[in-house]
Amino acid sequence: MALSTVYSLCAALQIEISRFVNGEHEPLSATCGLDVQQNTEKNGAIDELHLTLCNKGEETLLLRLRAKLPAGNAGGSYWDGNSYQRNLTRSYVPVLDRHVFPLTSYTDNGNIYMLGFAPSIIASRFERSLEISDGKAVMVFDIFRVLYPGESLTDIFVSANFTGVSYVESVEKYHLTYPEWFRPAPGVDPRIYGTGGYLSSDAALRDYQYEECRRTGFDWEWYYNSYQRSGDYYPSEQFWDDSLGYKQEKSHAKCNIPGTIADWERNHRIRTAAGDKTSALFYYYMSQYCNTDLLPHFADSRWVTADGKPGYRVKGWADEFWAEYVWSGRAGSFGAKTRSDLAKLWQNLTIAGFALDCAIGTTPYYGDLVRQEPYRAYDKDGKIFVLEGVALAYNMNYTRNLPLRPDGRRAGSIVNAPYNYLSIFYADGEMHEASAWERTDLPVPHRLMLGRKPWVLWRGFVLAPFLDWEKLSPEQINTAISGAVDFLTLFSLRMGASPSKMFMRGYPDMLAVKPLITMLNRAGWHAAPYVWVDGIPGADDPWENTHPYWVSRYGEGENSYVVVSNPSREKKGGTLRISGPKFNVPGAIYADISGRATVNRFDHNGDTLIDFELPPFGYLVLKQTGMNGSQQVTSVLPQKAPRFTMDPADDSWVEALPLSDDRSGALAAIVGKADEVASLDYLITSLSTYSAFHRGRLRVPAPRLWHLIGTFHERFRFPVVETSDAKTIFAIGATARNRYFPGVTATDQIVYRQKNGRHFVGFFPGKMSEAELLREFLFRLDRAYPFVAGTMSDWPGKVQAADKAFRKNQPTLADALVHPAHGVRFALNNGETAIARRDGKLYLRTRFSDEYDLVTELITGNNGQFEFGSSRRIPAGLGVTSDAMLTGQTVYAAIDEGAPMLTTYGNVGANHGALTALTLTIPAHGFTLSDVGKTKLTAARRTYYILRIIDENNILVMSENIGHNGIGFFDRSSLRTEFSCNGKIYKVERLQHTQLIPNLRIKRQNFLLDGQPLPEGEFIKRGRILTCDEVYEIVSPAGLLELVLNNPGRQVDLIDPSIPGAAEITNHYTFTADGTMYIAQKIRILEKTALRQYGLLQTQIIYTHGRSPFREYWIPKTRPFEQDGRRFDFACGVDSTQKLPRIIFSGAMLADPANLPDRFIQIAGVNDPRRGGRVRETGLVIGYSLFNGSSIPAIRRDAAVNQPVWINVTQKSYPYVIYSQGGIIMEAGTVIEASGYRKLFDPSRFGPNAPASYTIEENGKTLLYLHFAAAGSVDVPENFTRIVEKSEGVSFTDGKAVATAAGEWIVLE
Amino acid sequence: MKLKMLCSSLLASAAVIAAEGPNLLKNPDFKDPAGYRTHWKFESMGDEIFEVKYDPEKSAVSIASCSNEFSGYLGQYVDVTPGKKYICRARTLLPKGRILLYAIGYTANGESTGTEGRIWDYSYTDNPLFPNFIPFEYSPGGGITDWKTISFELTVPENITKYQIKVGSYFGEGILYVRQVEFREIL
Repeated sequence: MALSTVYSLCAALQIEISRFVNGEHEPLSATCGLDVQQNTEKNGAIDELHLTLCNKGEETLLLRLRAKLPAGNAGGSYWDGNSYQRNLTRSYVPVLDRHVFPLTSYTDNGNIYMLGFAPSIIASRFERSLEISDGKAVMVFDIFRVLYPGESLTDIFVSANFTGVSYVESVEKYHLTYPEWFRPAPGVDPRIYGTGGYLSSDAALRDYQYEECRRTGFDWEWYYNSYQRSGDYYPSEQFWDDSLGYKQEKSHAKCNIPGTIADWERNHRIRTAAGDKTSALFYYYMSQYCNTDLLPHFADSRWVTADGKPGYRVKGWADEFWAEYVWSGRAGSFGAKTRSDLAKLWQNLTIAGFALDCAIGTTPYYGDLVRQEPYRAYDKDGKIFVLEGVALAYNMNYTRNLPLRPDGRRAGSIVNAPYNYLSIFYADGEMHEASAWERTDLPVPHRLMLGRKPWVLWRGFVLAPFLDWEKLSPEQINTAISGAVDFLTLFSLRMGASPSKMFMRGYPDMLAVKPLITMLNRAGWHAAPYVWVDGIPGADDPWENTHPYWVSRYGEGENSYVVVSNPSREKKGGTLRISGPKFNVPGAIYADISGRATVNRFDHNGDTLIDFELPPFGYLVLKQTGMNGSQQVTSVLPQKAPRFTMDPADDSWVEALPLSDDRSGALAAIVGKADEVASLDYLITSLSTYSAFHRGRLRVPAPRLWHLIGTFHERFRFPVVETSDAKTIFAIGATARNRYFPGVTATDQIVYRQKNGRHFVGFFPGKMSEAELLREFLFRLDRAYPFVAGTMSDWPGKVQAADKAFRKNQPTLADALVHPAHGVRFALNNGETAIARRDGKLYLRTRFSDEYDLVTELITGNNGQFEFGSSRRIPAGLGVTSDAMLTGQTVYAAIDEGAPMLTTYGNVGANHGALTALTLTIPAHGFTLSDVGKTKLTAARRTYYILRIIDENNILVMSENIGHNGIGFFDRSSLRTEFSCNGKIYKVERLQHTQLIPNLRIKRQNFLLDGQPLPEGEFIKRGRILTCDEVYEIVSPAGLLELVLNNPGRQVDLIDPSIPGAAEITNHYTFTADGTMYIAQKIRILEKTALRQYGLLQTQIIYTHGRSPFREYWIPKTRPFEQDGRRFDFACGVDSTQKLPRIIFSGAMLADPANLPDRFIQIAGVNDPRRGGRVRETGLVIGYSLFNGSSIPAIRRDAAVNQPVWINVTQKSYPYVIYSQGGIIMEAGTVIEASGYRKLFDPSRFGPNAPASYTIEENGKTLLYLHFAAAGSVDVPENFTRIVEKSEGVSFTDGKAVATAAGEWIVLE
Repeated sequence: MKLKMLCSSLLASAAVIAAEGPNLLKNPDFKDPAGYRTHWKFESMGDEIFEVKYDPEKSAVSIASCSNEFSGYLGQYVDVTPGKKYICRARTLLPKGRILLYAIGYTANGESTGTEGRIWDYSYTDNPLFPNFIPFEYSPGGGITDWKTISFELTVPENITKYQIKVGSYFGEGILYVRQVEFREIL
């Protein structure tokens, strides 16, 4: 039958079918060959009209199927599937065709009309509008189809008419009629309703991911981009490139581990098997992108746009190369390959399904494959296309129907950025890659299309653009941030949203509300709340943001909830009206889930009335406890009895358990028989890593777990053993319980006992398993070890910058010491330094250890040059504030740290001045300024000139230049007792050698933080690298004397610009976050001289504290020797608590004259029996670069062969780059370069086998210097792989450095 | 010694003393006698929701969007030198919606390298956090809509020779005004 128009489901609904010809829709002709069959069905509250079209003709038919539903009078309200319009008096045609529900609703004076199509209908194009004519409204809904000859297709229009107030009631009826489209498919991993996010673990941190998941409430993972090339989602031999290999979790689009397909498989099998224990993993793919190089293999599937062009291209995102849009639907080779890969992934990996990124779905494809895709349509120009969403739906339907896992799980799909109903209807959940305050147009239409499916808010607390961070006070910041937390909480409760891990990590308030949110979402969000507050307008659009109360409803029957919240800063209350009859529960009775009594009243319609009052941003969650209530019923929800008990019941013992300390590492052990322990699986790993994870996580507020590689210290990990003498024992399994808790016969109880200073915890199962008890115990433990850290979005970043707190209700940081759990967010991050100026002084803060940071004063020396100041350790939990820079314990008192060079003028440079002058004390000498530079004094045939009249009894003099061969030299013999002048004898009462200070002309001194100049005045700034570029000239004494003589009777400036320089020194200091202070020095000789000593570095004795302090001194590359009756072996560490004699290292004291000692290490500590005896606390090293300048071994062995270092009786150490008793002649223009470092370090970092060990940052390289105190091994962090140098008795394999004896050493890069 | 110059312009309130080169954008203030769009091209994924015109009262081009659904930008190309640093600024008024100012890089053979620098600005009018959850006065400018300068800096990667500078509406229903756009080398 070929008809042109009017099919009728009921008296109201009309169908018009027209054909698109020559740019116009025209009635069907009787000869077009279209056969139409119809039947009607009643499906619950909805009427269905099934239209089956068959093209029996020979022409391609472009058809518009138009449904028209008279909807009462004009002036009503219209919901077009996306937006809602009130009081429409003119026809309305929506602009948008994205984010549109294929359903519309019109409300006219209590009558609701709905029109759309059934959710099973796949349409590439549909349109909707409202026609208003003669005061009447007609709803119009169009589906556009293309039928080739011989094709047929069935569409189902749906409509209904009922009484009500809101369009959401139409949506609710639709959800109830087709429930399977609005829940995850049966068998999809239920964890999909929980907290999603990136886990991004790493093979190196596999054990720590369990704690990461537990601590952040993590339930499912967006298992990000694991394929080598887009389109080869499960690698095939044809496309795989071993040299590219696969990606670790930390890689974005780029492969970073060369390897084979087998390596890829192994990596993902291990990763998914481990991850699945705690979280459902959804394997990421983007079926609409194909790697451009692969595309020729799928040439039939190339994307084609309306004007015949290829599709969108992108590089470095879909994979590391170019990729471009491709058709991945039912037809074509690419779709087939995709589905084949997805099936293999499902079969071979322990995944819960798939994560489809950018599942936009609205991009039209116009290529040849359209012919084979039945759900095609035509555009306004009559061009035939099929929407990308059709392909997405097809593929999601395919994976959904893959064979179930043995455990019954079905492959689910989560989509990001869906623009089309198909992407949402065929998915099992949606990830909304935005916060709740971005794209505010999307939550309502998406939530309605999802129905009861999970909807995850993704982006975390990004507030950076909204707050005036610099101007807000700490209290205002707290108010604002608490406001955002409150908003997200209320928004989630209202809209059935599930905040992602990015909102949970470090936000205890969000973690606290998460179980409630998850429970409600599992119960199922309802489009129509049928709940309102009496007297409040707007019930027709309950999801509008501006309502003074927010209401929502979840679940059915006994598992039914109502939520009302107060989105304002004022306490408010009212009467909540719950229209139970609307959802078939007349006289529904509710009770507050918190256990408070709830008074229910009922009106004659069976509506429930509950009076409520809510604090600012408060919410009330009511659970249905009954129905058919009348008059008044007070309901109290019985609170569940605890499932387990603690013994002792006062569980304060939990936080008192010794778990670990800084020095000893782990103090607890997990004891049990291997098979019994193994039965608790990953929870044992979680317990084992508890302290190590907590300590590490607090230190690094990074978003991804893999950022923490190298941060978790194994020494804090509780060993899992069959027997232990640890202070705290966690007894796992019946065997261990019987051993440590003899006679205890508890069930469902966590039992604690203390004996002889040791602590024992056992988990006694009953109805609860031992694993469940252990999980509960870990949650109790969390209270003692809070986790407020681990985020790196703009918001906390801004908070950090402003030194403000971010936790709701958290005490603000008033620049004081706070618990690290609170303070860490404001403390120094890994890789950061901080620099402050306070009272005119600069302070540098760097990392010292897990527990401490180091603050070093950066000062100016006697000559105005840069100089290291003293250093203090401060708690790492302190905020980055200038106050914090002034606290702490001095660990090094710096005095005169810059090394001068010894020339014929004495020591010059750094703090020194040329030692060329004499101060003569001649009482009442009678000289005046007129004598300066003019009057000659003589003694022993030498002539002396007066430089300064110090006072009436003292003058400063300098001899004539008695040097030769162009090298200046000045007589400063201390034997002179009298001087003559103009025949008069002057008796010298006292003669003092005097340095000419100032002696340096500072030409440049620039501090830069990350390349930027430091601000003026007082400031504090975070950064990465601080540098100081400094250039100064040592003024020539000969030139000074000449100037004095040329200006008789005047007092000249000692560093007058006209005085020639003797040498120019260029210093480049680099201060890195790990505490390394690296110096590269360049000396340009300007005036010929004889250089005797040049050291670059020198250091004082290290500082000690405590009642029983000790010091050690380590100098690798030395041999044992005896002096003054004492035996010294500096290579193995010498106890230097007792003052060392003057020691000059030379000759047989050197292990290898060709490789001189280049690092000089001191360690300070205390003997403390309470901490296990000898506790090394602070290390100090100065050392020379092995790579740059004259200080490298190959050059220095010749230059400093006589004496590479000596220790003075003052305990000050003087190493040398150049040492020459007689002096080396340096011509003007000679350049000397040397580099070295200085660092205060944590001597416990590499364990007791190698206390004098440290890392150094040198020109972008990180070097590890290991010096062994005993035979043994050290686990080397994985980033050190190359041996720079080593002693014979050290080997390095498989990440371990192994020494055969004390005194051995190795340097790794 | 490099010349220090005073960069003064219609960006008066943000006048900056800095070493900067000339503005590389043509018709930066939309006042070209040949028409405000001279040298500028408006591009969007959904033209139907935008109305772009010059507002003589405000001496600015206005971009009005009736929906959040699409973004739309005025853009033009500038040649750049790899390794050099540039600053991009726009003087804007945002009563409602979202502004994005950004730069897309292009290689010598015309391939896009994607966004190299960008800055957003948001109005508070349609932000559900304000004023109930966060008071207006906590926001920059105290929540008062006024002219402001938004900017970003970038250093040109080795493979880029050209940028497309774009300014416009970033998925935001509302209206925005752009009075001046600058793209200058930082000397």
